Amino acid sequence: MAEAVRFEEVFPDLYRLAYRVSFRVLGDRGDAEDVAQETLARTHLRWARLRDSPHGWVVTVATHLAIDRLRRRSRATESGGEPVALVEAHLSERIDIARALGRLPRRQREVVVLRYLADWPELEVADALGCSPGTVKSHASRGLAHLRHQLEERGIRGGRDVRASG
Amino acid sequence: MFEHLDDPSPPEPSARTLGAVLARAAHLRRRRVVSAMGAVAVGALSLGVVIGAVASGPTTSQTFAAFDSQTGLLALGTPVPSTDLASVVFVGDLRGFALAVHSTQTVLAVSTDGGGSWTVADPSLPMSFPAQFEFSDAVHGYLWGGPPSSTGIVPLWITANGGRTWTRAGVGPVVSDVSAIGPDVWAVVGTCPISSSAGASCPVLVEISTDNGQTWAQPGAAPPLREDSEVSVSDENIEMARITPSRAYVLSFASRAPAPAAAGSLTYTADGGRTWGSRADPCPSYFDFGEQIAASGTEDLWMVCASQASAGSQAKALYRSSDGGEHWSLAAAANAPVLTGGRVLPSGGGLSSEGYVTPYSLAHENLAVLTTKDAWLFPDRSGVFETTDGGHTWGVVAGLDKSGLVDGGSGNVVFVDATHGWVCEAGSGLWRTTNGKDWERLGP
Repeated sequence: MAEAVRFEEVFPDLYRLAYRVSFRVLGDRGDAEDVAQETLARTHLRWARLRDSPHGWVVTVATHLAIDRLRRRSRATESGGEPVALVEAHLSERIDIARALGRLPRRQREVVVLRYLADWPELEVADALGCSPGTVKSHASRGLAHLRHQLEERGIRGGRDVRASG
Repeated sequence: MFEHLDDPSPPEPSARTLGAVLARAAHLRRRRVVSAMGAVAVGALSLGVVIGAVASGPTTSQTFAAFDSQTGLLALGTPVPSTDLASVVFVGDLRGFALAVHSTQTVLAVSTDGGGSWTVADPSLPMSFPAQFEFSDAVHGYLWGGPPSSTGIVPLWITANGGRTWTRAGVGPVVSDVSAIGPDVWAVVGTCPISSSAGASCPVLVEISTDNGQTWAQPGAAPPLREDSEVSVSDENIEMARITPSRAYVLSFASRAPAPAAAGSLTYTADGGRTWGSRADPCPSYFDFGEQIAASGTEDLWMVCASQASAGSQAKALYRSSDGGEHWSLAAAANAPVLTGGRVLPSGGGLSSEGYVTPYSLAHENLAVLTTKDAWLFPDRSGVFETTDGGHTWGVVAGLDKSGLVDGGSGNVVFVDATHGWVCEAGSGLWRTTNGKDWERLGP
């Protein structure tokens, strides 16, 4: 029987994954580090259940935490507070992406997040979500179309760059 | 598709990153109290292995390798690299104790040369990192604050032989903070085991031992403190600052961000715990996510109040009292309005918004106050700051930076007198001053 994977062994990879996803949403290093740490802390608490396949869970939690934080930041900015973040590149685009993701049906959102926010191949997304590659392709196509439509309405680069690959 | 949103130079996870994650996990776990304690304990105790794996520099790596390559329980007297220390306390300018991590064990290390070298005194402590500990002299020590048991108990362990053996003290069920002055030991005790959901508000007691923790009693009335069993009794949101054998302050606060709420509760006794009175907690709403209290004398109190943290920044305020907490005045503030609901305090000085003063700090003592003028502050994910004018202006301790302290780490700062102090940065190393100004890095 294979020895169970220890959290510490895969911690660097999982942290990089959570950070990349968080940064794509937040655009701020400090916030992305916070979200990655929170994600990994939660992962650690559930390690006995997650250790065989933690990556999808990490991406999902990091995305949700990042979107929540972006919403709070957006609300604070709108209410007149000065944002702490020093890096605000593509902020409006990030906010629109977060909003657009939030409006996708759950399964489409899961597929789009894993496939395009985390850059996973279709086969791995299918494996993580327990569905067929064909289902992934279908959800990805519809999700992308939905996302592209919303982003293009706002003239966002991410909208123009959307390609239904693979 | 989203590659243009990537960080062009993402940070590499380090030992300190793992330490911060494990501390957060322990904090979350305390709130949830799940029964499977092994994961947190093993994970936290394994910190040293990963520290060793990611530490930079050949000398450090070699030292780590030598330390970590030993399997099983370490033998008494085994050398411990300073880079493996998680937190330190000193009982004089030469003798100190430290928590370290080795494989799946939390280790007590001892130094008799001012922190220059460390050896194993107990290879397997009964409570795992991130526990808190204190020694009143070379032989009497106290260990508490680690992860709760599956039934929500956080006991106090005592030693009377320099940490070689430990016995469980008859105080509890949840020991939140301990202070020992000679044989006179005080413990802040939560009366309800930590529960997995919001429960009854439970009284908080201060129990006292006059025989190095062997026997305990409540000397008089309980302090006017109550804590939600889910939130803060047992975790780092309650703190005792003991000024003299008979005078102490107990600070209780809860991390309620982002909603504004009443500040925490501050109580004090001046008669050895027989009676307790209330003092106002000066921390305003939105500045009470993390609070630290310290004192240089019976009347001189310092209170650091900190907001919700984000993006490496945190709004902070320093309040001072010269009459034992009767009145407070703002000495300095660092503002981050987005983290304080737009509330801005007059800055009036040089506190830095850099770094976090949080309930889930890896070490629990971020503030060291020596005199009415001199103090040090070591927020998480930051450097060490010092003031020499009573807290009005603060500056980075340049000597630490120059001697290798990593900006962005976590640890504790302790002093035993006006000139002898130590800074321990978990996973990074140990520094000492013998004149209160200049710092040197100690050991491998």
